[in-house]
Amino acid sequence: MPDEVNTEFKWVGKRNPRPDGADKVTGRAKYGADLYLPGMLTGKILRSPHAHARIKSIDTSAAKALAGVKAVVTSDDFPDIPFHTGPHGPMVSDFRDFSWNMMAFDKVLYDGHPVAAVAATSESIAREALKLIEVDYEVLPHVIDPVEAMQPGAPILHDDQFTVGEDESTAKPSNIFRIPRAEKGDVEKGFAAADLVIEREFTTKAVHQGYIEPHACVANASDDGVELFCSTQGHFVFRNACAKLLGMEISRIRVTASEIGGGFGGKNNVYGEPVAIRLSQLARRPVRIVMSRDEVFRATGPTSGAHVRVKIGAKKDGTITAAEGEMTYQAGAFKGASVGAAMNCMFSPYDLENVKVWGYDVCVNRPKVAAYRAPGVPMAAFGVEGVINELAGELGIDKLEMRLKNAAKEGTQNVMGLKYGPIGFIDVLEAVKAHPHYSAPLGENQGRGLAAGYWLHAGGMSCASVNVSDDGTVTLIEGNPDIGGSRASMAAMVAEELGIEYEKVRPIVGDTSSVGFTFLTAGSRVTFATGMACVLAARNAIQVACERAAQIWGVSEEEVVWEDGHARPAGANVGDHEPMSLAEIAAKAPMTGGPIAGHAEINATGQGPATGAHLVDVEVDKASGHVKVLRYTVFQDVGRAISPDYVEGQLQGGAVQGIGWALNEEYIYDDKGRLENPGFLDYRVPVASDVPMIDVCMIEVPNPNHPYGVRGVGETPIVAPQAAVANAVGDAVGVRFHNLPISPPRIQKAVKDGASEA
Amino acid sequence: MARVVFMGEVRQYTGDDDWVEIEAPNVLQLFKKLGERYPRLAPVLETGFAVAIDGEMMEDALLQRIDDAKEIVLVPKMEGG
Repeated sequence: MPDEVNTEFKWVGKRNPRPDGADKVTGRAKYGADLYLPGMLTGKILRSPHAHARIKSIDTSAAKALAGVKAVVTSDDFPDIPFHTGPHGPMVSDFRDFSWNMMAFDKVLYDGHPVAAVAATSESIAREALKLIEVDYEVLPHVIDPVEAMQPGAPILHDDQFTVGEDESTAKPSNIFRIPRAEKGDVEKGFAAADLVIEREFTTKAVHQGYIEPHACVANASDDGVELFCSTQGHFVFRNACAKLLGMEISRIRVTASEIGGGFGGKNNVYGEPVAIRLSQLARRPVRIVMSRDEVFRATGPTSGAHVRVKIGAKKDGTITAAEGEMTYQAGAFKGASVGAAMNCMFSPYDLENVKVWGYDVCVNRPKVAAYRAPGVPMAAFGVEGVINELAGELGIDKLEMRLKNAAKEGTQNVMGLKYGPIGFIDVLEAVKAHPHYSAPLGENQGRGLAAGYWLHAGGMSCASVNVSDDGTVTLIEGNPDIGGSRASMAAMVAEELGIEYEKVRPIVGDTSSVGFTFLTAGSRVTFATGMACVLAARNAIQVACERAAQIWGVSEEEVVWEDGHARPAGANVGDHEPMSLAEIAAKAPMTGGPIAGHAEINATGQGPATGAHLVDVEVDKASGHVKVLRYTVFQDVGRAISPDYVEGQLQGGAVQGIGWALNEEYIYDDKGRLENPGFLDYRVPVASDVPMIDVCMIEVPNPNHPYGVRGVGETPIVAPQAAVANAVGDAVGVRFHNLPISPPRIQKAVKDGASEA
Repeated sequence: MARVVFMGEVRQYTGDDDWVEIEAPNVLQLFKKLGERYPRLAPVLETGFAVAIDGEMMEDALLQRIDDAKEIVLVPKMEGG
C-alpha cells in the first residue's frame, strides 16, 4: 500500500458536510454523560486533599451504612498488580502505575488522587457518603518542581523507583525515572566551528488540555460481562486497560465510545472507568461517573511543565554548525513524561550535522501527565525557535532566511536516525515569504513572531469493514472515536474508491465487539492509518463486486475492471456487457453468493512527518502588560487535506491552544501542594473574543506511502505557537522572554527592567 | 550484515556500545540476537521501540526482511495527543 498516490478526486479534498454535524449543533449527539439506564446509580470519587501522604487507614463503614449507598470501593477492591512494564496493545505501559493512579494504595501522591469511591441512588447521597469515609493520613513532605525533585534530599515519591540504567543494588531510590539521550555527529567540533554560539534556558508551566467535556462513563456489569459507554480517544485501549486493572478477560468487556467533546491526548488513558465497572459489579446496577471540572484539573493529565536549555552555534552566513538541548520534564506522580518525543522532534525541522539531546523524566507530586497534542515538543520548540530568532538577530540575517538556510529536506536524517522522504518544510517557508502577512507594516507597540514546528505522526493498528446493502448504499464501520471530523474523511475516501456519492456512505464508529482492534485516536494517525484501512476495505469490497459481475457475465475475474462506480468489461474482446453499478450488483447479491463486503485489518506504516510555521502579530499595552493578538497565520504541509474544513479546524485549534499556553495558562500550587486554580475562572483559556480569525495556508506535499497522500495534521499546529507568540511579544517590547506564560506582570517587569529574561 | 545503531534510551541497555553489526534475516531474528547480547534489552525490544530501516520508520517491523539493509536504528515509539 499504496500502488500509487491518487491525484484526481470527486470527494477527497472537497468540503463535504460532516455526518455528525447536525446532531452536534442541535444537541442530539450523545456524549459520555448522556446515557441513562434503568436503575442507574451515581458514582463519586473521594480524592486526597494532600500532595503526599501515607494512608494509615480508611474506614468506609459509615458510608456503607448510609441509606441509598449501594457500593463502596477502595484499593482493596482491585487486584494488587505487581510492578512491571509490559505490552499494552502497541504501547508499553506500567499497569501498576495505572492501578495506583486509578485508586491510591498505600500513599497518595498528589492533590486529587482517588482514595475511595461510592455508588448511590442519587448524587446528593453519593456526596454525603464521601463525607462519611474516614481516611487517616500521615502527611509527608512533597515536591512540585522537577528540578527540586532531582536534588539530593528531595522527598522521594516511590521507594522502589531507580533511575533506568542504575544498579538497583547500590543506587538510591530516585524521582528521576530515566535520562534518555541521543547524539548525531560531533557537537563539540560543531560548536568550535561556529562564529556565534548562544545558550539560553527556558521554562514552561504545566497546562491542561482544556477539553470542554469532562471525563464521563456509564458501566453496566452483568454475569455475562460488562458494557462500558464512555468518552475516550480509544475504546479498544480502554477495554484492554480495564480488563488488566480488574483482572478480567478482555472479551468480557464491550466498550462503546460516546461522542467526544475534546481530548487532545487527555483521554488516551482510563481514570474512573475501571472504578465505575467495579462499583457496578458490586452493586449489580449500572453506575455513571461524571467528573466535575475541579476533578478534571486536579486528577487528569496536564502536560509537563518543563525546564529546557538550548545551545546553538552558527556561522556568519547563518549555517547552524551544532545544536544541543537538555530537557527536564515533570512526569507527575508516575513516570512517563514525553522526553523522548521532544528529543525526536525539537531540532528536526532542520538539516543539522551535529546534534545532542537528552532529558530527565522526573516524578513530582502532581497528577500524572498525559499526552497533549505533540506531547513534549512545544516546550522544547519554544527554546529552539527562540534561540534561532536571537541568532538571526545577532548575525543580521532575516529570521525566515536563517530557517530556510537550515531547512530539512528529502534525505535529511534527524538525530534519532529517521531519514526523511518528501517533506514540505522548504515549501512552507517559501509560502510564508510569499504571503502578504510576512511583509505587512506594523504599528507602534506591535511585534511580529515567527516559529517553526515538526512532528512525526503515528501509524499503527486499525480495522475497517465496508458493508454494501441491497440498495447499493454502504455502511462503513471503523474503530476510532471521531474527534476532528474523521468520519467525514473516511466516508470521502471510501466514496472515492467505490465511485459512489459521498452521501451513500454512512460511517459508523464501531464498538469493541463489532470491529477489530483499532489503536487510539491520537498521534494524528487516524486519517492516515484508519483511512488506509478504509481504503483497503473498500478495495476488497470492489474485488467481491467485480467477481460477482464476472460470474453474471460468464467471464473471468481478470476481464472485469472497476471504473467510476461500475464494473465494466476490461476490453472490447471481453464481450458487450452493460456496465453494472454497485447498487445493481448488490441487488443481485442474495442470488449470486451473498453479501458484498470488504474488510481490512492493518498495522499501518510509512507515516510522514509534518512541518509548519506560525506567523503572528501582537500589540502590547506596556502599562498593563496586556497582549492583543492582531493577526495570525498558520502554514503547514498537510500532505493531502482529505477534508479541508476539518484540517483548517485542526490548524486553527492548535494555534488558539498555543496562544493560551503562551500568554495565560498555568497550574498554580500553594505551599502545601494543593492546586489553587482548578477551574476555567482561574485557569484562563482563550475564548473567541481573545483571538482574531486564524488564517490558514495549507501546503500539500503528499505522503507517498498513503493512497491519498495523507500525513496527519493534528499535532504540528501546537508546536510553534508558544515560540511564535513569545517572539512577537519580544519584538513588540524589545526584550526576549524565556518563561511561559508571558503574563501581564512578567511583561510589566520586563518593560520596567528593559532587559531580557535570564 | 546490518549495522544496528543505538540512539536515545536504547543506550541505557547497551553499555558503551553505540552500534553493533549483526547478521539476521529479519527484525525478529535481529531482536533475538540483540537480546542474547544485551539481556536487559531483551524484555523491551519488541514493544518499546519502533525500527527505522535505512531511514524509513517501520511500525510493523518484526517480520520485515533486512538481508539488504545497511543501517537499522531503534527509535523510541512516539506517543500522540
